[in-house]
Amino acid sequence: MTIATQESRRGGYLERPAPSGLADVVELILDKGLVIDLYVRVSLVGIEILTIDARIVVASVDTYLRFAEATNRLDLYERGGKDLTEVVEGASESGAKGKTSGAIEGVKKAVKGGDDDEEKRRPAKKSASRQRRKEPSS
Amino acid sequence: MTDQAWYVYGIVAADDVASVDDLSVVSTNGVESVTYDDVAALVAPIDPSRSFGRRADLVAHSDVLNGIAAVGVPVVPVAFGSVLGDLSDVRNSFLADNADYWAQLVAGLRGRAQYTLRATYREQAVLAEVVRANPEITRLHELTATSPDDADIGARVRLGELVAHALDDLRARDIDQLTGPLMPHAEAHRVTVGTGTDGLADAAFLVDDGQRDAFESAAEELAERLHERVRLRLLGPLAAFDFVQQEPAWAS
Repeated sequence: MTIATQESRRGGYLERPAPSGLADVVELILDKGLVIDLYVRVSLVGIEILTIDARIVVASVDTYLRFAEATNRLDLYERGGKDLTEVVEGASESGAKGKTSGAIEGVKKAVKGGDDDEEKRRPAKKSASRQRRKEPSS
Repeated sequence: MTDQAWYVYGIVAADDVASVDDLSVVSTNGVESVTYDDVAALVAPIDPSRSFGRRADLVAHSDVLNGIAAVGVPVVPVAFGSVLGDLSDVRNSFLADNADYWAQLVAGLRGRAQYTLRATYREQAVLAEVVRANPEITRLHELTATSPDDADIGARVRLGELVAHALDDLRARDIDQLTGPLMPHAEAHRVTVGTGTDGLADAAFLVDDGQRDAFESAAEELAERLHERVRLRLLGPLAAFDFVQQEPAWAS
Protein backbone atom coordinates (compact mmCIF):
# COMPACT_ATOMS: atom_id res chain seq x y z
CA MET A 1 0.00 0.00 0.00
CA THR A 2 2.71 2.46 0.84
CA ILE A 3 5.06 2.63 -2.10
CA ALA A 4 8.45 4.20 -2.26
CA THR A 5 7.80 6.62 -5.06
CA GLN A 6 5.50 9.47 -4.54
CA GLU A 7 2.32 9.62 -6.57
CA SER A 8 0.99 13.07 -6.80
CA ARG A 9 -2.19 14.03 -8.47
CA ARG A 10 -1.45 17.72 -8.52
CA GLY A 11 1.68 19.80 -8.57
CA GLY A 12 3.72 17.40 -6.48
CA TYR A 13 4.22 19.80 -3.58
CA LEU A 14 3.04 17.47 -0.85
CA GLU A 15 5.91 15.32 0.38
CA ARG A 16 5.03 11.74 1.30
CA PRO A 17 8.23 10.29 2.76
CA ALA A 18 8.22 6.51 2.66
CA PRO A 19 9.92 5.28 4.63
CA SER A 20 10.08 8.22 6.98
CA GLY A 21 13.38 9.14 8.61
CA LEU A 22 14.45 8.76 12.21
CA ALA A 23 13.41 12.31 13.12
CA ASP A 24 9.91 11.51 11.96
CA VAL A 25 9.87 8.32 14.01
CA VAL A 26 11.00 10.15 17.15
CA GLU A 27 8.38 12.85 16.73
CA LEU A 28 5.71 10.28 16.03
CA ILE A 29 6.21 8.02 19.01
CA LEU A 30 7.73 10.05 21.83
CA ASP A 31 5.26 11.27 24.46
CA LYS A 32 2.48 9.57 22.54
CA GLY A 33 0.43 6.45 23.02
CA LEU A 34 -1.18 4.92 26.03
CA VAL A 35 0.62 5.49 29.34
CA ILE A 36 0.15 2.12 30.93
CA ASP A 37 1.40 3.16 34.38
CA LEU A 38 -2.02 4.66 34.89
CA TYR A 39 -3.73 1.36 34.29
CA VAL A 40 -1.66 -1.31 36.01
CA ARG A 41 -1.47 -2.35 39.64
CA VAL A 42 2.08 -3.53 39.20
CA SER A 43 5.09 -1.38 38.46
CA LEU A 44 6.67 -0.98 35.11
CA VAL A 45 10.10 -2.45 34.93
CA GLY A 46 12.57 0.37 35.18
CA ILE A 47 14.65 -0.19 32.12
CA GLU A 48 17.29 2.36 31.54
CA ILE A 49 16.04 4.61 28.78
CA LEU A 50 18.62 6.66 27.00
CA THR A 51 17.89 10.33 27.29
CA ILE A 52 16.29 11.78 24.24
CA ASP A 53 16.59 15.43 24.84
CA ALA A 54 14.38 16.83 22.16
CA ARG A 55 11.77 18.72 24.07
CA ILE A 56 13.30 21.72 25.76
CA VAL A 57 12.29 25.18 24.66
CA VAL A 58 14.39 27.98 26.02
CA ALA A 59 13.05 31.48 25.55
CA SER A 60 16.14 33.43 26.32
CA VAL A 61 18.48 36.05 25.11
CA ASP A 62 20.35 33.33 23.30
CA THR A 63 17.22 32.26 21.47
CA TYR A 64 16.37 35.80 20.48
CA LEU A 65 19.88 36.36 19.18
CA ARG A 66 19.40 33.37 16.93
CA PHE A 67 16.19 34.84 15.57
CA ALA A 68 18.04 38.10 14.88
CA GLU A 69 20.84 36.21 13.23
CA ALA A 70 18.41 34.38 10.95
CA THR A 71 16.65 37.60 10.06
CA ASN A 72 19.92 39.31 9.28
CA ARG A 73 20.92 36.53 6.94
CA LEU A 74 18.25 37.85 4.64
CA ASP A 75 19.93 39.91 1.98
CA LEU A 76 17.42 42.68 2.30
CA TYR A 77 19.73 45.45 3.17
CA GLU A 78 20.57 47.17 -0.05
CA ARG A 79 21.43 50.80 -0.58
CA GLY A 80 18.15 51.50 -2.30
CA GLY A 81 16.11 48.66 -0.90
CA LYS A 82 15.46 45.58 -2.97
CA ASP A 83 12.01 44.55 -4.07
CA LEU A 84 11.08 41.96 -1.50
CA THR A 85 9.13 39.78 -3.87
CA GLU A 86 12.31 39.20 -5.86
CA VAL A 87 14.13 38.18 -2.74
CA VAL A 88 11.36 35.83 -1.68
CA GLU A 89 11.11 34.08 -5.03
CA GLY A 90 14.82 33.63 -5.35
CA ALA A 91 15.34 32.47 -1.83
CA SER A 92 12.32 30.33 -1.15
CA GLU A 93 14.04 27.07 -2.01
CA SER A 94 17.05 27.63 0.20
CA GLY A 95 15.14 28.27 3.38
CA ALA A 96 15.07 24.72 4.60
CA LYS A 97 18.56 23.82 3.52
CA GLY A 98 20.89 22.68 6.21
CA LYS A 99 18.23 22.63 8.89
CA THR A 100 18.02 19.72 11.20
CA SER A 101 15.25 19.58 13.73
CA GLY A 102 16.03 19.58 17.40
CA ALA A 103 14.70 16.06 17.49
CA ILE A 104 17.37 14.70 15.19
CA GLU A 105 20.09 16.21 17.31
CA GLY A 106 18.53 14.96 20.47
CA VAL A 107 18.29 11.46 19.10
CA LYS A 108 21.82 11.57 17.76
CA LYS A 109 22.96 12.42 21.23
CA ALA A 110 21.15 9.40 22.55
CA VAL A 111 21.93 6.84 19.94
CA LYS A 112 25.44 7.77 18.93
CA GLY A 113 26.71 8.99 22.26
CA GLY A 114 26.71 12.62 21.26
CA ASP A 115 27.83 14.83 18.48
CA ASP A 116 28.44 17.99 20.41
CA ASP A 117 29.59 20.12 17.50
CA GLU A 118 26.11 20.24 16.09
CA GLU A 119 24.61 21.21 19.42
CA LYS A 120 26.58 24.42 19.47
CA ARG A 121 24.93 25.57 16.30
CA ARG A 122 21.39 25.12 17.42
CA PRO A 123 19.78 24.14 20.68
CA ALA A 124 17.59 21.09 20.75
CA LYS A 125 14.08 22.33 21.08
CA LYS A 126 10.56 21.41 20.32
CA SER A 127 7.23 22.94 21.02
CA ALA A 128 6.22 23.88 24.50
CA SER A 129 2.56 24.47 23.85
CA ARG A 130 -0.14 22.18 22.66
CA GLN A 131 -3.43 23.35 21.27
CA ARG A 132 -6.76 21.59 21.34
CA ARG A 133 -5.37 18.60 23.14
CA LYS A 134 -5.92 17.37 26.66
CA GLU A 135 -2.79 17.16 28.74
CA PRO A 136 -2.36 13.64 30.11
CA SER A 137 -2.61 13.66 33.86
CA SER A 138 0.38 11.98 35.37
CA MET B 1 14.60 -12.80 39.85
CA THR B 2 13.62 -12.66 36.23
CA ASP B 3 16.12 -11.74 33.61
CA GLN B 4 13.44 -11.45 31.03
CA ALA B 5 10.68 -8.91 30.91
CA TRP B 6 7.98 -8.01 28.41
CA TYR B 7 7.91 -5.00 26.18
CA VAL B 8 4.34 -3.90 25.46
CA TYR B 9 3.61 -2.60 21.97
CA GLY B 10 -0.13 -2.18 21.92
CA ILE B 11 -3.61 -3.63 22.19
CA VAL B 12 -5.70 -5.24 19.48
CA ALA B 13 -8.99 -7.08 19.38
CA ALA B 14 -8.65 -10.77 20.15
CA ASP B 15 -10.35 -11.54 16.83
CA ASP B 16 -7.56 -9.73 14.98
CA VAL B 17 -4.69 -11.66 16.53
CA ALA B 18 -4.52 -14.14 13.64
CA SER B 19 -4.17 -11.30 11.12
CA VAL B 20 -1.49 -9.67 13.23
CA ASP B 21 0.47 -12.92 13.59
CA ASP B 22 0.60 -13.17 9.79
CA LEU B 23 2.60 -9.98 9.43
CA SER B 24 6.31 -10.30 8.80
CA VAL B 25 7.07 -7.15 10.82
CA VAL B 26 5.45 -8.87 13.77
CA SER B 27 7.42 -12.10 13.55
CA THR B 28 10.67 -10.29 12.74
CA ASN B 29 10.36 -8.35 15.98
CA GLY B 30 9.44 -11.33 18.11
CA VAL B 31 6.00 -9.99 18.89
CA GLU B 32 3.57 -12.34 20.60
CA SER B 33 0.03 -11.93 21.80
CA VAL B 34 -1.54 -12.34 25.21
CA THR B 35 -5.31 -12.56 25.17
CA TYR B 36 -7.95 -11.77 27.75
CA ASP B 37 -11.58 -11.92 26.74
CA ASP B 38 -12.01 -9.76 23.63
CA VAL B 39 -8.68 -8.00 23.70
CA ALA B 40 -5.05 -8.96 23.30
CA ALA B 41 -1.81 -7.27 24.23
CA LEU B 42 1.07 -7.39 21.78
CA VAL B 43 4.32 -7.99 23.63
CA ALA B 44 7.87 -9.06 23.00
CA PRO B 45 10.48 -10.47 25.35
CA ILE B 46 13.14 -7.97 26.39
CA ASP B 47 16.25 -8.13 28.52
CA PRO B 48 15.57 -5.56 31.26
CA SER B 49 19.23 -4.99 31.96
CA ARG B 50 20.11 -3.62 28.57
CA SER B 51 20.10 0.04 27.67
CA PHE B 52 17.07 0.98 25.71
CA GLY B 53 16.22 3.76 23.33
CA ARG B 54 18.58 3.00 20.49
CA ARG B 55 17.63 3.67 16.93
CA ALA B 56 16.58 0.05 16.46
CA ASP B 57 14.23 0.28 19.43
CA LEU B 58 12.54 3.40 18.12
CA VAL B 59 12.21 1.95 14.65
CA ALA B 60 10.82 -1.37 15.92
CA HIS B 61 8.15 0.37 17.96
CA SER B 62 7.09 2.48 15.01
CA ASP B 63 7.33 -0.30 12.41
CA VAL B 64 5.32 -2.84 14.38
CA LEU B 65 2.46 -0.50 15.18
CA ASN B 66 2.33 1.15 11.76
CA GLY B 67 2.61 -2.23 10.04
CA ILE B 68 -0.47 -3.42 11.89
CA ALA B 69 -2.41 -0.25 11.16
CA ALA B 70 -1.40 -0.46 7.50
CA VAL B 71 -3.38 -3.64 7.04
CA GLY B 72 -6.48 -2.15 8.59
CA VAL B 73 -6.21 -3.77 12.02
CA PRO B 74 -7.05 -1.24 14.73
CA VAL B 75 -4.30 -1.09 17.35
CA VAL B 76 -4.00 1.05 20.46
CA PRO B 77 -0.33 2.09 20.63
CA VAL B 78 1.25 1.91 24.05
CA ALA B 79 3.82 4.53 25.03
CA PHE B 80 7.36 3.81 23.87
CA GLY B 81 9.45 2.05 26.47
CA SER B 82 6.71 0.33 28.47
CA VAL B 83 7.89 -2.90 30.03
CA LEU B 84 6.12 -5.21 32.45
CA GLY B 85 7.77 -7.88 34.55
CA ASP B 86 5.93 -10.96 33.42
CA LEU B 87 3.11 -12.17 31.26
CA SER B 88 0.74 -12.68 34.14
CA ASP B 89 1.05 -8.95 34.88
CA VAL B 90 0.24 -8.23 31.27
CA ARG B 91 -2.82 -10.44 31.32
CA ASN B 92 -4.17 -10.16 34.84
CA SER B 93 -3.36 -6.58 35.61
CA PHE B 94 -2.98 -4.64 32.41
CA LEU B 95 -5.63 -6.40 30.33
CA ALA B 96 -8.03 -7.85 32.86
CA ASP B 97 -8.50 -4.75 35.00
CA ASN B 98 -9.48 -2.59 32.03
CA ALA B 99 -10.74 -5.06 29.47
CA ASP B 100 -13.95 -3.22 28.63
CA TYR B 101 -12.13 0.07 28.21
CA TRP B 102 -9.53 -1.48 25.91
CA ALA B 103 -12.27 -3.07 23.82
CA GLN B 104 -13.95 0.30 23.52
CA LEU B 105 -10.71 2.04 22.52
CA VAL B 106 -9.95 -0.56 19.88
CA ALA B 107 -13.48 -0.38 18.51
CA GLY B 108 -13.19 3.39 18.29
CA LEU B 109 -10.17 3.02 16.02
CA ARG B 110 -11.62 0.43 13.68
CA GLY B 111 -11.89 1.75 10.14
CA ARG B 112 -9.75 4.77 10.95
CA ALA B 113 -6.12 5.76 10.65
CA GLN B 114 -3.92 8.63 11.68
CA TYR B 115 -2.23 11.03 9.32
CA THR B 116 0.44 13.40 10.57
CA LEU B 117 1.09 16.61 8.70
CA ARG B 118 4.41 18.31 9.37
CA ALA B 119 4.49 21.93 8.30
CA THR B 120 7.64 24.02 8.23
CA TYR B 121 8.24 27.50 6.94
CA ARG B 122 10.51 28.37 4.11
CA GLU B 123 12.57 30.53 6.37
CA GLN B 124 13.71 33.14 3.91
CA ALA B 125 10.19 33.75 2.62
CA VAL B 126 8.62 34.02 6.02
CA LEU B 127 11.30 36.16 7.60
CA ALA B 128 11.11 38.52 4.65
CA GLU B 129 7.36 38.70 5.22
CA VAL B 130 7.83 39.49 8.88
CA VAL B 131 10.43 42.18 8.23
CA ARG B 132 8.28 43.82 5.59
CA ALA B 133 5.17 43.83 7.78
CA ASN B 134 6.69 45.51 10.84
CA PRO B 135 8.45 48.89 10.61
CA GLU B 136 10.27 48.45 13.90
CA ILE B 137 11.63 45.10 12.76
CA THR B 138 12.71 46.69 9.50
CA ARG B 139 14.48 49.44 11.40
CA LEU B 140 16.31 47.09 13.75
CA HIS B 141 17.26 44.79 10.90
CA GLU B 142 18.78 47.66 8.96
CA LEU B 143 20.57 48.87 12.07
CA THR B 144 22.15 45.53 12.93
CA ALA B 145 22.55 43.74 9.63
CA THR B 146 25.73 45.46 8.60
CA SER B 147 27.49 45.79 11.94
CA PRO B 148 29.58 42.98 13.44
CA ASP B 149 27.67 40.26 15.27
CA ASP B 150 28.91 41.38 18.65
CA ALA B 151 27.87 45.02 18.19
CA ASP B 152 24.49 46.45 19.10
CA ILE B 153 23.60 43.45 21.22
CA GLY B 154 20.63 45.22 22.76
CA ALA B 155 19.19 45.99 19.36
CA ARG B 156 19.80 42.43 18.18
CA VAL B 157 18.04 40.95 21.17
CA ARG B 158 15.14 43.30 20.63
CA LEU B 159 15.05 42.41 16.93
CA GLY B 160 15.04 38.72 17.71
CA GLU B 161 12.33 39.13 20.30
CA LEU B 162 10.09 41.04 17.89
CA VAL B 163 10.67 38.51 15.16
CA ALA B 164 9.92 35.65 17.54
CA HIS B 165 6.63 37.22 18.54
CA ALA B 166 5.71 38.07 14.97
CA LEU B 167 6.27 34.43 14.06
CA ASP B 168 4.04 33.32 16.95
CA ASP B 169 1.23 35.42 15.51
CA LEU B 170 1.88 34.22 11.99
CA ARG B 171 1.85 30.60 13.11
CA ALA B 172 -1.54 30.97 14.73
CA ARG B 173 -3.02 32.30 11.49
CA ASP B 174 -1.26 29.73 9.34
CA ILE B 175 -2.37 26.86 11.55
CA ASP B 176 -5.97 27.82 10.82
CA GLN B 177 -5.15 27.74 7.13
CA LEU B 178 -3.80 24.23 7.52
CA THR B 179 -6.52 22.72 9.63
CA GLY B 180 -9.49 24.40 7.96
CA PRO B 181 -9.49 22.37 4.74
CA LEU B 182 -8.56 19.12 6.46
CA MET B 183 -10.90 19.06 9.44
CA PRO B 184 -14.00 18.27 7.38
CA HIS B 185 -12.35 14.97 6.40
CA ALA B 186 -11.24 13.98 9.90
CA GLU B 187 -12.94 12.69 13.03
CA ALA B 188 -10.49 14.47 15.30
CA HIS B 189 -7.27 16.41 15.15
CA ARG B 190 -4.45 17.53 17.44
CA VAL B 191 -2.06 20.37 16.74
CA THR B 192 1.40 20.90 18.18
CA VAL B 193 2.69 24.41 17.53
CA GLY B 194 6.16 24.65 16.04
CA THR B 195 9.06 26.76 17.26
CA GLY B 196 12.13 28.47 15.94
CA THR B 197 12.51 30.32 12.70
CA ASP B 198 11.06 27.59 10.55
CA GLY B 199 8.70 25.52 12.70
CA LEU B 200 5.04 25.95 11.84
CA ALA B 201 3.12 22.98 13.24
CA ASP B 202 2.65 19.26 13.49
CA ALA B 203 -0.94 18.21 13.11
CA ALA B 204 -2.36 14.73 13.66
CA PHE B 205 -5.67 13.79 12.08
CA LEU B 206 -7.82 10.73 12.68
CA VAL B 207 -9.36 9.89 9.31
CA ASP B 208 -12.07 7.38 8.40
CA ASP B 209 -11.06 4.97 5.66
CA GLY B 210 -13.83 6.35 3.48
CA GLN B 211 -12.43 9.88 3.79
CA ARG B 212 -8.82 9.04 2.96
CA ASP B 213 -8.89 10.04 -0.67
CA ALA B 214 -10.64 13.31 0.10
CA PHE B 215 -8.22 14.03 2.93
CA GLU B 216 -5.15 13.31 0.82
CA SER B 217 -6.49 15.44 -2.05
CA ALA B 218 -7.16 18.32 0.31
CA ALA B 219 -3.62 18.02 1.67
CA GLU B 220 -2.17 18.05 -1.84
CA GLU B 221 -4.16 21.17 -2.71
CA LEU B 222 -2.98 22.81 0.47
CA ALA B 223 0.66 22.00 -0.30
CA GLU B 224 0.36 23.52 -3.72
CA ARG B 225 -1.40 26.61 -2.48
CA LEU B 226 1.10 27.31 0.29
CA HIS B 227 4.27 26.06 -1.34
CA GLU B 228 6.01 29.41 -1.60
CA ARG B 229 5.96 29.91 2.15
CA VAL B 230 5.36 26.49 3.66
CA ARG B 231 6.72 23.01 3.17
CA LEU B 232 4.26 20.21 3.91
CA ARG B 233 5.09 16.60 4.63
CA LEU B 234 2.36 14.05 5.16
CA LEU B 235 2.95 10.79 7.02
CA GLY B 236 0.35 8.10 7.00
CA PRO B 237 -1.77 6.14 7.19
CA LEU B 238 -0.33 5.42 10.66
CA ALA B 239 -1.35 3.86 13.95
CA ALA B 240 -3.25 6.31 16.15
CA PHE B 241 -0.37 7.48 18.35
CA ASP B 242 -1.95 10.84 19.05
CA PHE B 243 -5.46 9.71 19.84
CA VAL B 244 -5.25 7.31 22.73
CA GLN B 245 -3.95 9.25 25.66
CA GLN B 246 -6.95 9.84 27.85
CA GLU B 247 -10.70 9.35 27.61
CA PRO B 248 -11.18 9.92 23.92
CA ALA B 249 -14.02 12.40 23.50
CA TRP B 250 -14.42 11.44 19.86
CA ALA B 251 -15.22 7.84 20.66
CA SER B 252 -18.54 8.59 22.35
